[in-house]
Amino acid sequence: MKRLIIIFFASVFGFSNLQLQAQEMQEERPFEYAEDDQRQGIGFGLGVKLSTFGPGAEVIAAINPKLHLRLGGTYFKYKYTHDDKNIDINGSADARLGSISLLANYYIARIFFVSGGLLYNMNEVDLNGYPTKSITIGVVDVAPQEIGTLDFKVQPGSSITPYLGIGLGRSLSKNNIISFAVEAGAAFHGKPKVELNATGMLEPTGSEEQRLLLEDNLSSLNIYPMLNFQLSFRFL
Amino acid sequence: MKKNKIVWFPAITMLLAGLMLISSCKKLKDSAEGAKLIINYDLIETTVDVQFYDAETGELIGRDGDASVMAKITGPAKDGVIDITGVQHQSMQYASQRGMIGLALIPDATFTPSPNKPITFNIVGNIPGYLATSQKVTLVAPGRTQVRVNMVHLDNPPQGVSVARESNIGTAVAGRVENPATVQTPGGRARIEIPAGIVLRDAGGTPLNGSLDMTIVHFDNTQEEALASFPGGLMPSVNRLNGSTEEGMFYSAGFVAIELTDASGRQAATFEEGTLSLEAVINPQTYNPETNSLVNNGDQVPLWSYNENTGEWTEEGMASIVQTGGGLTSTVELTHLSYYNFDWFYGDYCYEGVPFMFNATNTTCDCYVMQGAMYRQVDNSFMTYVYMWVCGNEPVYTQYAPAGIPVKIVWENDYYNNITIAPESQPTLIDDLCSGTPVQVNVISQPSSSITVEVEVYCVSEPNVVIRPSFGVWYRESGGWNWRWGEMVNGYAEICDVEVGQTYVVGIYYDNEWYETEVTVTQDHYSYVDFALPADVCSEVFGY
Repeated sequence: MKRLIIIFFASVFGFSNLQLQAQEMQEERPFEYAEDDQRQGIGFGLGVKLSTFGPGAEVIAAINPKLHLRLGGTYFKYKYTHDDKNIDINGSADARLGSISLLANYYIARIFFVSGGLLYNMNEVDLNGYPTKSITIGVVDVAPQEIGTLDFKVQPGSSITPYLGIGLGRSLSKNNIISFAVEAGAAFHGKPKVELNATGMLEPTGSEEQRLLLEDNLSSLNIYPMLNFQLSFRFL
Repeated sequence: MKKNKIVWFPAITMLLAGLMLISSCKKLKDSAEGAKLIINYDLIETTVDVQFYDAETGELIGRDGDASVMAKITGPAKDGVIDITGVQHQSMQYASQRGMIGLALIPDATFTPSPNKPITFNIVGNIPGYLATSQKVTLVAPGRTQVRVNMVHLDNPPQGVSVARESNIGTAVAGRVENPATVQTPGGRARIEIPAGIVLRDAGGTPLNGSLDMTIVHFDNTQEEALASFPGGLMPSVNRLNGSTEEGMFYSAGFVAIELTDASGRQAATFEEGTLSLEAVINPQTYNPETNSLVNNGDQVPLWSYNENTGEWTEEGMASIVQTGGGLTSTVELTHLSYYNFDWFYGDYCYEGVPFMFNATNTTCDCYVMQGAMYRQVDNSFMTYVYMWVCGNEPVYTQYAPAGIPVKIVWENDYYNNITIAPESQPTLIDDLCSGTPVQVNVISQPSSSITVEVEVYCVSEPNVVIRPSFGVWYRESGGWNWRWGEMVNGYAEICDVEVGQTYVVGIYYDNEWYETEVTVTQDHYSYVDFALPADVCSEVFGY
C-alpha cells in the first residue's frame, strides 16, 4: 500500500520532488532488490512520458548498466477553431505531434546520460482559413465558395529524424521499480516541407512560387527541440 | 552537493530548450515574410465594350480626349449593368473616354445571359452637336461583346443623312404656337408643318414657351452610312399596336428624327389641339419585303415612333406611300414628337444562331477579333456590325440573328496587320443565320509576333494583398487610330499582332476615366507585378 501511495505521488508531482523522494527512498531502500550487479545492469521496463512530441509510452531495455535501449511512441493532436465574427473569416489549426522513436541512452555518469537515435517524425501543422460570408466588390456580391479557401500545411523535411540529447535521471532504475528521467535534445528533421493550397479567387496564393518562399522562410527551422519527462517502471 | 546538481541540470536543460523554443517562435513569426495573398480578380463574366463613332468621319468621338459621350443605360436589364470593375453608377450614366466605354454585367444568376434568358438593355448616347441615339444590346451568352454606335454630327452628317437646324421658327406662348411654320431638310427629304394654335408640351407636361428651334434629320435607308447610324439599330424590340412586345428586324423605308425645343431648352413631346404633319421622301430603291420588289405607289408601310431616351420602338399605325411630284413620299400626322421610322418589321429570329468556324492558315494568337458588317443578300442592305472574338478552333455563335434571311458578311481586313480574310470567304454568304450548319470562314494569318503581359496590382493600404486583374485593354500603334482589343485574364494577357520595336499606345477604361500610356515594345514579355492602384480605386472597389 505504501508503494502504491508513493507511485501515485511520484506520478503526480514534478521531477525535483520525485528525484528527492527517489533519493530518499533509495537511501531508505524501500523497494530493494537483491544487490546483484547483473540484475542492476540488465533489465526491462515500461515508461510513460510527456514530451514536446506529445504524451506517450516507451519500452525500455537496459542491456548493460550504461546502455539503455528505448522504443517508444508519442501522439498528440490539437484542433483549434477560429471563428471571428468581426472579419467573417473562420479558420482552423490542426497541430499533430507524434513520433515513433528508437533511442539509446548512454550513461556517462550515474544519472547523466546522452541519448541518440532515430525518430519517425509525425509532426504536422495544418492551418485552414475560409470566409463565412459574401463580400461585395463594387456592387458585385462574391460568395464564400467563389472567394475560396487557403490551406497551409507544414511537415518535417524528413520523416526519419536523427535525434541527439542529454538527460538526467534513469530511464530504468538500477535498483528500484520506479525511476524518473528528464532529457533535452534536438530532432534534426531538415528543412520543413510546406504544402500550400488555395481555391477560388485565392488560387494563385497557393502557387509553387509562394510555397517555395514559405519553405525557404521556414528552412532554418530544421531542428525540433525535444524536452522529455519520463516516468519508468521496471519489470525485470 | 548532490541536490544542487539535480536542480542545476534540469535548470540548464530547461533554459536551453526555452532558448530553442523562443528562437523557433521568432522564426515562425517571420515565416510568412514576403508571402502575399494573391487574388484572381475574375469576377466579371460578361463584358460589353462600347465604341462611339462619328458616322461621317469614322473616327472615335473624342479620340483626342476632347469630348465625351454620356451613355445612359436603360431597358429591362439596366440594373445589371456595371463597369468592368464592378462599380455601378446610381445615375446609370457612364462617360465615354476616347470614344469608348467598358461595361459588364453583374455576374449573378439574374444577369447571366443564355439563349433561354437573354439579357437586353439599351445604350443611349448623348453629346452636344450630335443627334442623340441609342443602341439595343441583346446578350445570350457570357463572354465579350463589342458594340459599335455610330452618331450623326449635325454639322457634318454622313452620306444619306440630311439635317435641317432652324432657329426661331416660331413662338409658343403657354405652349400654344402663334404662327404656322414649315421646316424641311435640304433637298426636301423630310418636311414638318406646324399648324398655328397647336399646344406643345414637354415630356413632363410643361408647356413650351418662347421662340422655337427645330432640328430634323432624315436618314435615307438606301445609303449604308445612313443605315449604319440609324438610331436604335435595325434589330430592335418593338411594342406592337396590340400591346405585345416583339423582337426582330426592320426593313427600313426611311427614318426621320425630329427635335423641337423652346428658348429654355424644353423639348416638345406631346401635342394638344392639333397634329404635326410629316412628309418624308421614300427612296424608290427601297425593297418592300411584303411584295418582294422595290417599293411602289400605293404600298403600305408601318410607322414606328422611337423614344431615343429609352430605346423603345412603338408601332403607330400604317403609312401610305404615294407618288407625288417629288417622287414617292409618305405623309403622316404626328400626335407626339419623337423619332419616326417607316419600316416593315420581320419578327422571325433566333437568340443563338449558326456557329462560325474560323480556319486560320497559321497559328495565330490565342484569341483575336474578326469584325465586319452584315448585309441582306436580297437588297444588299446594311443590317448590323459583326464582332467575333475567335479563340483557337472554338466555334463562335451568332447571337440574336434574324431567321431564314440570306445574309452576307463583309469582313474588315485592316484590323490586324497579319490576319486577313481569305478571298474565298470575302464576303461570307450565309443562307440562314438560324440554321445549325456551321459557317466556315478561312483566315490567312501570317506568323506574327505577340507579346505577353503580366500584371499584379496592390493597394498601398494593403500591400500584402495582390490582385491579378481581369479587364479589356485597348492598344493601337502610336500615330494610328485603329484601336485593337486585347483581354487580360487574371493578370495575364497575350497581345496579338504586336511587333518588337514598334511604339504602341495602351489604354484602359475604368470608372469614367481613361488611362493610357505609350510603350515601345522591346521584348516579348512584360511583367508589371508591383503596380500600386490609386487610393480612390482601392477605396471604391475594395473598400480599403
